[in-house]
Amino acid sequence: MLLETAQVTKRRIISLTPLIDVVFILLLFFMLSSGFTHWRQMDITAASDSYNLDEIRVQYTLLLHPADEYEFNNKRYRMGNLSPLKQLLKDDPRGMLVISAAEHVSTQQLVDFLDNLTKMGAQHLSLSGLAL
Amino acid sequence: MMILPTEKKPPNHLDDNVIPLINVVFLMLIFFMLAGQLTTSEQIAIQPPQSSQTKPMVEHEAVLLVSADDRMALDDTLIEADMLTPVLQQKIAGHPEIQLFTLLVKTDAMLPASALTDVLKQVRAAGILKVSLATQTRQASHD
Repeated sequence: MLLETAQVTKRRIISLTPLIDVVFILLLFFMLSSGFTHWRQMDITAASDSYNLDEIRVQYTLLLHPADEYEFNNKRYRMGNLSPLKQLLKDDPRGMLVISAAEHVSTQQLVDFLDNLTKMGAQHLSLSGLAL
Repeated sequence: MMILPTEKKPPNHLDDNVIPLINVVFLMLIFFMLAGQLTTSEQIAIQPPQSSQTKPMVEHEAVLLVSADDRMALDDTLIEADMLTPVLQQKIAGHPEIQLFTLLVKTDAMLPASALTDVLKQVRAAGILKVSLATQTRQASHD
């Protein structure tokens, strides 16, 4: 006589090694192909496209110098001293600030200066004939 | 009655040691998958200028790369600096509305500003009105 014995279910042991292999490969892929640069953009359009030029009466020329200085009205100021420009923007908010850069001024210095002008509320900025 | 010691199978502890490693690796994987953005490698390596601009980057019809040593690539094709205007004119020729053609200029932060303005003049000469300069979010200084 055959007796039915309770079948013992065997737990299959899954090896973790292939899983780790796959996860490591995925990790390597994402580490190598991911970028963490948060890109932003600064719009530069042709002057005639963005401004009503009739509104702008006076153009003020600003020249950037490499030693963290800028020139305005034939006077040089330290980059940290923006009070003459603040006064200018207060006196003539419709004036256009035309920015040019001397030799050896980097793009980073130019962008920093533009950032400061934007923070002060400058609305009419121009970079070599192109409006910002 | 004598009790004989039963032969016990040693439990499989091999995998237990690897579990913390897997946890860490999984966490790193999730971090890179969520925080990183998949990017394609560019023809010219550049380090963009940092800015306080908050406007996020949008898709552009063409991307112009300018390295610190004035090498240029338009849509991943290396071009000579003096050929920029004709190449851009060729590019926008097939565009239905030239006035809506957008160009993204990605320059290196160390590129001389005078070189950047020269590039912008050439872009303007090609008839492109909508130009954007790519920047990256300014990193907080910890001084």
